[in-house]
Amino acid sequence: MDTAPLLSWLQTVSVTALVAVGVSFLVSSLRYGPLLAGDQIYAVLVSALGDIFRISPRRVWAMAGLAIKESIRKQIVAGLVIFGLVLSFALWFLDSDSIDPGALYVTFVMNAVNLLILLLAVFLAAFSLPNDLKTKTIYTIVTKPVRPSEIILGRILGFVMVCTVPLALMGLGGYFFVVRALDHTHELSESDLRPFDAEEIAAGADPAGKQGMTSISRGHKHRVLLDGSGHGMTETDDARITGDQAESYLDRFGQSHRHSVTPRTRDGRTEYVVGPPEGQLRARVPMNGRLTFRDATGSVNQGYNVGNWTKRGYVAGGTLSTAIFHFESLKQEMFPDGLRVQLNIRLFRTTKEDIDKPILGSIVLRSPLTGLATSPRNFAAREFFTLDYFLPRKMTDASGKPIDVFADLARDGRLDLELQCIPRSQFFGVGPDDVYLMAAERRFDVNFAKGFLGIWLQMVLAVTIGVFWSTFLSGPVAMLATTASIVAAIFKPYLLEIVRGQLFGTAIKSAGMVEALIRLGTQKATMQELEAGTTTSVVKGFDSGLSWLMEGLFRFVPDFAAMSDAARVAGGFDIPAATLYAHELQTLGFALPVFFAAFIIFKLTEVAKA
Amino acid sequence: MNRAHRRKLTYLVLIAALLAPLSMISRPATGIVEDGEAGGGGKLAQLREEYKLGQAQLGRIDPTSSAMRYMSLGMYGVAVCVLDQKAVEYQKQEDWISLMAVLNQKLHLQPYYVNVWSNQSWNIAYNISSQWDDYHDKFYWVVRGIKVLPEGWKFNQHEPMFPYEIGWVVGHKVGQSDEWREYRRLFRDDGLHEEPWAAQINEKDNWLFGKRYLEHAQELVDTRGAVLRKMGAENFNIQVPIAQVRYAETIEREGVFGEVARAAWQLAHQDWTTYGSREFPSEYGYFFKFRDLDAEIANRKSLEERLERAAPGMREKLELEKRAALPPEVRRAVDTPKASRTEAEDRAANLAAQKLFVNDYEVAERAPEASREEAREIAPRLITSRQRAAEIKRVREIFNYDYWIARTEMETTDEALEARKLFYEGAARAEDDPWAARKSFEEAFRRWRVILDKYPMMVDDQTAFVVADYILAYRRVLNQLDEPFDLSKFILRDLVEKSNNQEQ
Repeated sequence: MDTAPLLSWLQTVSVTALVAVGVSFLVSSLRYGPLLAGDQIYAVLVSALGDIFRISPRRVWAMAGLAIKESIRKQIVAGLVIFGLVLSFALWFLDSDSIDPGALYVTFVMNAVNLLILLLAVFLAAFSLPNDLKTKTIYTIVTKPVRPSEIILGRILGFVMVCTVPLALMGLGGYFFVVRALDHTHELSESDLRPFDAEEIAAGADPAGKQGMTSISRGHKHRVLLDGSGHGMTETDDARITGDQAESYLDRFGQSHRHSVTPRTRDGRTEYVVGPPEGQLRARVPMNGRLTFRDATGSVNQGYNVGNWTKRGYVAGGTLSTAIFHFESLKQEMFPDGLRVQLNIRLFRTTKEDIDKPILGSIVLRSPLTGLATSPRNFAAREFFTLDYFLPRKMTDASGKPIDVFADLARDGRLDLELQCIPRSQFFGVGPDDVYLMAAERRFDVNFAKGFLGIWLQMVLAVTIGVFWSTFLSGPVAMLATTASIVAAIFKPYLLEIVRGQLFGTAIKSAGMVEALIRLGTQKATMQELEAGTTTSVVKGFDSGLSWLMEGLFRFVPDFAAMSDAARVAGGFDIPAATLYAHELQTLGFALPVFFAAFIIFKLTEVAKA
Repeated sequence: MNRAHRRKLTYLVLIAALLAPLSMISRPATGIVEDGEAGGGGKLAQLREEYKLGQAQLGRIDPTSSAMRYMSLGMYGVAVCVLDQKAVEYQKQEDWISLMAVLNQKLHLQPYYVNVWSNQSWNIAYNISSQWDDYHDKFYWVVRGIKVLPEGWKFNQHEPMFPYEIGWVVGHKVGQSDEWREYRRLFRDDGLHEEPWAAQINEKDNWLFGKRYLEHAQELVDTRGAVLRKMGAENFNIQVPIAQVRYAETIEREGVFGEVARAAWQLAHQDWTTYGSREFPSEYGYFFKFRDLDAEIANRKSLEERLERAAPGMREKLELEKRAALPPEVRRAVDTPKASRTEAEDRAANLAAQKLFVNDYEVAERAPEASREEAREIAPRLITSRQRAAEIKRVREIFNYDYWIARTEMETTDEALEARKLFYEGAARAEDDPWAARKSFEEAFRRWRVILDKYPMMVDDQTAFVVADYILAYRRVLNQLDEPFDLSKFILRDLVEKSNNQEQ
């Protein structure tokens, strides 16, 4: 287990606590002298600890109830109305001809909800305590025997509960929006269909069946294959593997989903009903392998570099060059019928060749234990497209002898998948995530809900941060401070890049604040060195000091980008349980110290003492 | 209290005073606008009306785009910058779904900027499409790129660059890519003609489809008062005849000959003639037509003769006088042939040439008393005529007008049509039946000889390159048959030598 984050957390919390105590001691000593100050701080800490241990759930609940009652009428309704508005006009803004509308709509809904709910949390949390102080309702509460810790905890819990309701409603609304927006159908009539010709029947088509094209809808259409009874499906990417070329470009982008086709007789004529889209919203569980490469001579390399931006290794066609994915802990129960492989391959052509023929690649499964391997299986590569390839359990080796994937190859759970490009002078590009085994297919709706858990956790943090600031800042200022914290949390990776001077990657250090100001004034580009001298040294020294300070401050900022799973849900991948635990841990790791700090500060304020 | 009150009052008065001119300037036009006339409203409204910049005049007012701009609270410039940065990033990462989403937003944030639409259309049709491997996929992006343009056109209905760009991209991207055969097939099968906006065009050939849009762009400028802002009129209008030429060329490359091809070339010739009859603005402030060159030269000649009659021998006399006025060493430099002059002599001679030039005014001024008035009247007309003839000739050369007129006429002849067919057959048979291929090629070359004798211009232009390619194919065929290629006896020897020289 990686303990570095935990250690870093402990370090941050303890150093902060020590610094806080030190500063309070200094301030108090100036006022009351060191002895009295020491006494006071000791007293506060002891009573604080006592406070924490004597928290009464009943009173916390009462405080939470109060928070709920106060805020339920106000911003919640506004938040929901805004979300409703956004959803009802969203389709105007979204690209209806997108090649993957599912991904687009899911990303949009999750990001919109994320933003709205954070805004709502900020509003509620930042304004409530200062308002209480202002309207003096706080006095009616604290004169009763309620502990400061209970007030803070009650507020946080109350606002979290208040925000959870609209979040759940938005999630539900968003889900139905996505499903409804994706829903479409095509028309198919008798005149669109023709029987198979002799060649197609020889290739295995149903002699009684028919084939044809549906009408265009949402910028695509489908090729349909029907059996003798008129039932069938629109074709999906499986056809790709045989190397068949789609007849039309519009057909190719209809392959992210399929429709069922059923015949219906009306007035003695056959009509065809094309069903709703299927397979557009998925939650695949990928099983990734470790990726290594071999070059044209068969020795290990990093994969060839063809000069792309993407960090992929390339395999040279027609040589020994191979991309190898090493899978471990493969279990027979996970793949009872065989392995379902998904491939995302980039192509790089050095010659045009026959453009009507796809570039072929081959897959071999090999046992790292014995070296035994299946005979190569070919597939037609297509760029920017996920190929779904099925490798049955029973295969043969190069000599035609039968092989069982689990009994013969993956006996110790390890299996190598070797990928080669067949034609000479063409290249295949792959990265570690581009080829994986489909371990399972989960429910999309559950995965969508898991994605919303990440948003909920961000919202909890936002509420905690808001309550923290509002314990000692007045409403608008607390609101500003909270917003700043949230913005920092959302853009943490980018801001850290600025702070660390890594805007242009790690090779060139981007300028710090003062240096950047000087460069702006003197019109000096980043690549130009500043003249060496005292000024430059001082400036650089100041900037690195500032950078160090900022980096330290960013330890107090949670990383919301890491807690957002929108891309994963939209990409059709299941969120693993480990990721969710990591999110929860991050939330807890931030929320607990922040709560404690809020409580101490609140206790120190005069109101709490009164 | 009193003072504070007074201060507030002063502020109020100041605010009102500032508001008054503001409201005068920006008062919206209310009444019904009489056509052509700027109707009512403040200065801004009137200017907007005058330059057709108001949203209602520009085209459709789109709720999406307006909503987006209002929601950004006037910060849409900033939003566009952010979106642009994101778009570059997505394009680098090859995240096409996000890229298209961002581009879509970017376009609707600034829908009245013509360049934003045309640049994005090009970006998608040319840059993104080339990232994909399969030509079906490439073509999908070409079409997506083209479809950006009619969308932008809705916002800018008076902008001729939209139909122009549609015409251009549909023609050239579909018809002249490496994959032009496949693209043209896909375009025919389910190209843009099924789109609602293109339905009335009802044209399945990409070149003709493009031509319709180019013609529409012309019509916007010619008859509906649209303003051509981005390019010269010659360049803008030349695309129509070019599209027709490309159409004719392309169907011949695809094996369509005979009367269909002839009709296509005839129409091309007609289009070039029409182009020649168009009026273009001159840089000297008048209008000219390409086809006016001969008339202008004749006019110049007759004016020259009239001036000569009015001031007989005066031009020569003036020349001699000017020569005599030169210092002896300069005169010597002028008399030395250019090749044998020293550098200093050459400079002196060039300077002297300016001094020796006799202009028409000088001739007129020295005309005899009796005809001086007439000569004075002729001189400025002659100068203008010289200028016009020179300009028309220059612009005709820039746009290769003479070549195209001759070429389109040549292609309609029986010899050309047959030669084209024979070239096509020769190239098609070269692999399988070299004997037949050889026969076809030789027949074709014989016919081409006739064409070259009739249209000598065809020996060194675009057409010659195409024929040179066939000659190469012919030589490969001979090679296959183990026969030598003797250039000295070859019927198109002049063409081969010319194209060899050009290559060097």
